[in-house]
Amino acid sequence: MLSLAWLIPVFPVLAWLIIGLSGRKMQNRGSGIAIPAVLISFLFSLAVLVQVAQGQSYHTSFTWLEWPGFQITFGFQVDPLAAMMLVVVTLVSLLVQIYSLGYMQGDSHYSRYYANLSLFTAAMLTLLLADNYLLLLIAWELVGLCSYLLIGHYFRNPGVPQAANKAFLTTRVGDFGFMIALMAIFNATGTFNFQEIFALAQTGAISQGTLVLVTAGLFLGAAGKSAQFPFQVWLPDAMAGPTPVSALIHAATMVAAGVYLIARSLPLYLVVPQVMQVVAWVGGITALLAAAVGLVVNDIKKVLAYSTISQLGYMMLGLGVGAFFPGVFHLMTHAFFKALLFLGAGSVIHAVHTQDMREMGGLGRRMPYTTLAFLAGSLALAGVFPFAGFYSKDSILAAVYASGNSVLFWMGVVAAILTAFYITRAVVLTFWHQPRSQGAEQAQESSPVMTVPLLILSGFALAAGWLGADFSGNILGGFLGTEFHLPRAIHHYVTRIATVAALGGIVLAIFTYLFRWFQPSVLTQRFPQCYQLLQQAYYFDRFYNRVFVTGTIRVAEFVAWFDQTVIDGLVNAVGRLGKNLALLIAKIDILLIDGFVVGFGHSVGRAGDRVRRWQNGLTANYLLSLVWAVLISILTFKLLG
Amino acid sequence: MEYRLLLPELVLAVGILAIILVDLWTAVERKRWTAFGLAALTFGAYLIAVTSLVGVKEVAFAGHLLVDDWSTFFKLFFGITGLLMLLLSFEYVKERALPPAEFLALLIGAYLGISILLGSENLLTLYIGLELISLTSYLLAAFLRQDPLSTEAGLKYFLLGSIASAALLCGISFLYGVTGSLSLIVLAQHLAVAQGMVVTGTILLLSGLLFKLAAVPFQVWAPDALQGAPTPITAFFSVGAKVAVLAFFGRFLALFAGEFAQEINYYFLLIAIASMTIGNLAALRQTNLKRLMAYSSIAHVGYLLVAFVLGTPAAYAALQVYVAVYAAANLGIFAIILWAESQGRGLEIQGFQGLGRVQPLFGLALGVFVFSLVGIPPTGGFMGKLLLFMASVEEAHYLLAVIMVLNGVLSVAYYYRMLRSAFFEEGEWNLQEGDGHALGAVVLVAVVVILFTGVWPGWLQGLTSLPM
Repeated sequence: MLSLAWLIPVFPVLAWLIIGLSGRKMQNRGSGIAIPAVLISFLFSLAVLVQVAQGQSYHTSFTWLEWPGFQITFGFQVDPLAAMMLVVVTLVSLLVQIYSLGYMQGDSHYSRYYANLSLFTAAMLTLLLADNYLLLLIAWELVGLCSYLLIGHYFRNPGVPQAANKAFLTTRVGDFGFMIALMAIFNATGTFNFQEIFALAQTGAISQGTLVLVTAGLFLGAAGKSAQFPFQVWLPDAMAGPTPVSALIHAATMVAAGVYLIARSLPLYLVVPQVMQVVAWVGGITALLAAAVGLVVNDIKKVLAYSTISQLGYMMLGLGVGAFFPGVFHLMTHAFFKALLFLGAGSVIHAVHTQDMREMGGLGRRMPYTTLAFLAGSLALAGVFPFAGFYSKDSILAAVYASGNSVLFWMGVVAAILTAFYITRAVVLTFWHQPRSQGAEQAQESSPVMTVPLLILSGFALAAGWLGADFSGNILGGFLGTEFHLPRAIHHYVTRIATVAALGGIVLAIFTYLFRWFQPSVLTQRFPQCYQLLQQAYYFDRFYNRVFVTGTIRVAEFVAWFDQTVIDGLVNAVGRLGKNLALLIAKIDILLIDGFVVGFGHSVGRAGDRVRRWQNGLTANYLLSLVWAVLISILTFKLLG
Repeated sequence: MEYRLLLPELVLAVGILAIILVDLWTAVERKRWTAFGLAALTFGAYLIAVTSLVGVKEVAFAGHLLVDDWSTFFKLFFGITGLLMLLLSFEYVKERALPPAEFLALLIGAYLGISILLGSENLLTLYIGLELISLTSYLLAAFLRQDPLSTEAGLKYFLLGSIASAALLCGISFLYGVTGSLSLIVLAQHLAVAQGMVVTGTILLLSGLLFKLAAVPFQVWAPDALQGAPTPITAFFSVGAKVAVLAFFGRFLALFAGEFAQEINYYFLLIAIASMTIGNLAALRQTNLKRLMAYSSIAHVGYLLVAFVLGTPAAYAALQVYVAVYAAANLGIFAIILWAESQGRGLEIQGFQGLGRVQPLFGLALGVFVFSLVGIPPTGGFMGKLLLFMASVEEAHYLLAVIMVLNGVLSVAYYYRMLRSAFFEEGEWNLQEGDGHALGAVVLVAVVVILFTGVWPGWLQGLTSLPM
């Protein structure tokens, strides 16, 4: 079975091909192909997981390219990390696709949607199975491409193309770092293979400088993909896509890829502590800043988007202090509860037809299953015992505490308070009180194809954390093969603080929004600048627009202008001289020939016009610029020589 | 038996004569089919003739003509692009009521020049080849006689091209004056020790060649000429002479040695960086598709020149992959541009609006081409760039690799605008019943080449070979 692991991404690829190639003949039958395909992949992944748990491993490779001077081998591998993620990705993708049966019903591009989802899943699965950085990059870019297509699904709606564009361009800036890292690592080791590179790094065969470059470059790529500070701008806009897509992007695919890359490359990071510090700080800052924005956003999907950014920050923070298990653990639990939250939000949006929480309210009685599910997801996100987030977030905070960096630890704790607060606020605004719009009044519970996946995910949001809990003997830790033991005292201390933080945030939010003991508008009016700062998400968009977008356009305009009117200013005088000369020649021409050959004047006049045309200032400048080019070339050589 | 080596060129020459002569006896309504049929036969025969030379390495005609696998690779490349060019222009010639025989005779004339240039082992042969390309190109650029833009393109190209030719000839005569020979082999011995006149002559020679490539700072003619020329000819300009000159560079630059080689390397490094950066930046604000593609090709020439800066076998092999994929993407995009033009959509980027809806297959293909030009996996363009990056890192040209990657990010912005128009914007199309089959065939070939190379770049390695 394990030797067939490479088939896992093949099924969704086949689904994509079949749906894509049938074109319009497919009509609305795309789901009938995509869902069985991902189901088979899921079953395969489960079988692989079982075999890996029994201690087997899988690695196959072949020579992909022989080139003068080097060769590249490609291959697939399954290790515990990959096996775990395979199951998570296929499961979440399966549930999202089933849920979409209801959510996307009647969509005019239904089959295309399923085709893209299949390719998206396949790309992510390939990324997980890759045994080398090059294949990982290829899958990585494919993931980016598919998310671009899916975010742009409703491309007729205003703002959607821009959102897709922004996601694509922002992540590409990060990919620039990835590419550099790839070059540097291949230059130093002559291979892309993970195991070989890690082995070389641990023996010290790779210079420290190269490793810094490589790890920094990889982190740049991961920060772009996982929307870490300062690349976080694209993720909130990516909410323009269909909600199930957001669930997939935020839980198991796109953004998970960045964290996975860092987790995968952790052996490299462990050799360069300075870069580890950067990872940890970026993670901590992202966790805190994004959670703060979550407090003031009114769009339910945007609340969840900032929550994702913040939670990814936690994972980076965990990995940054060198704690492999907590980071990966949180990646796994987060996949379940964030998928749940998004699908729950989707169910609400489907019923109320708005994403603005100010127009919701009172949905608790009208949509009991959705409410229950969303509540489970929220408790998991807030980190309340015994929900999944409690265990995983706890282990991250414990690891940070154990690393001795108390600033980062307290940033994590504050972020946890904020997290508990904003998600409680979202829950209260959405499900409690009276309906605040007609849509909310008439809301009805979604169909079972949507609620059943929600309830399944609720189960995971509750129980997924137990796999890594002490009372279960930390099954997950044993499976991943990493010992993660901290002194009991630390665990107890951190658990107490984290629980107080979570409950504190929840209670504060309940007093504020449920019992209304306290008007949040008092604060926003008292500190309008702070409120604006959060509302505008720290003005990052505006800053990037002003500096990078406008800046690049200015430069481009300048170059285009410069190129069309080359050295016009420089040789203006010469140009005018040429033009006047041409006029003179034309006049002489006309006069002379007019004088000699009367009757041909008209045609010659036209010829004269043509001469003028040839020798207008522009062409003369062009000619001159060529002369300049030759002269500059010669000069360059004189300087070089 | 030396004529066996000249067979490909002879085939083209015979083809030109046959097309012109047969045209005289052909009824007007059959002229187009006859001329294109003959041209297809010519290119077919050319490909067969070239294939018979695979593996041959010989110098003939008193050192004027060289046949080796490097030139054979590019001749094969041009035979195939020649056939694609026929498909690209088949409908266009009818729409614009252009005389097919003259058009094709000139086009094949340019290919004859290219073929001669590829096999030149002597500066005189080089000049003949280059001039043959140039003269036919001037005429082809101005082929839409009624269109002021086209005549202007032809005139400007001609005027500027003559300066370049003058520089080239001047350089050749300098070199001849110093060395007493025009043979590249003899020249090689003198190029190792760079004296004043050799340097000046070489630079003048290189300037003439770089002009053909439209590398910065010799690029001024390209946007105007490419915008004004008939669209199939724009497609030809964006690959034809450029690739031929690049192939010649591969041979010529391998001759330099010692300190002079170092200087040439630096010179090419500067030109490569300037070309890619300025080409990409200038392309950002273009709205006309042909002009945009002109700047894009300037940028790609910059990438390709990197191969000569490195000068390693890996770099030369990467160049061949890059060229094949670049040509496929370019011809493919021009096929789509031509189709949109034939549907009355104009040549601005807005012309693509709604393409993804009315012609989804062309839309998808456009996506493949754009991704290949940007260099995103799993397209061949990614492989071309990757191999080039790796070759530059192997040679410890780190900064160069970084600049190349950065330029890749930059270029996303303007290529992306085509995709945005095609997929995210609405446009009014009145689809006319016309068979876009010929253009569709070009698109199909291009997509297959790009995707196949992207997944399995090794297939080209059986064909590639190095001039050294």
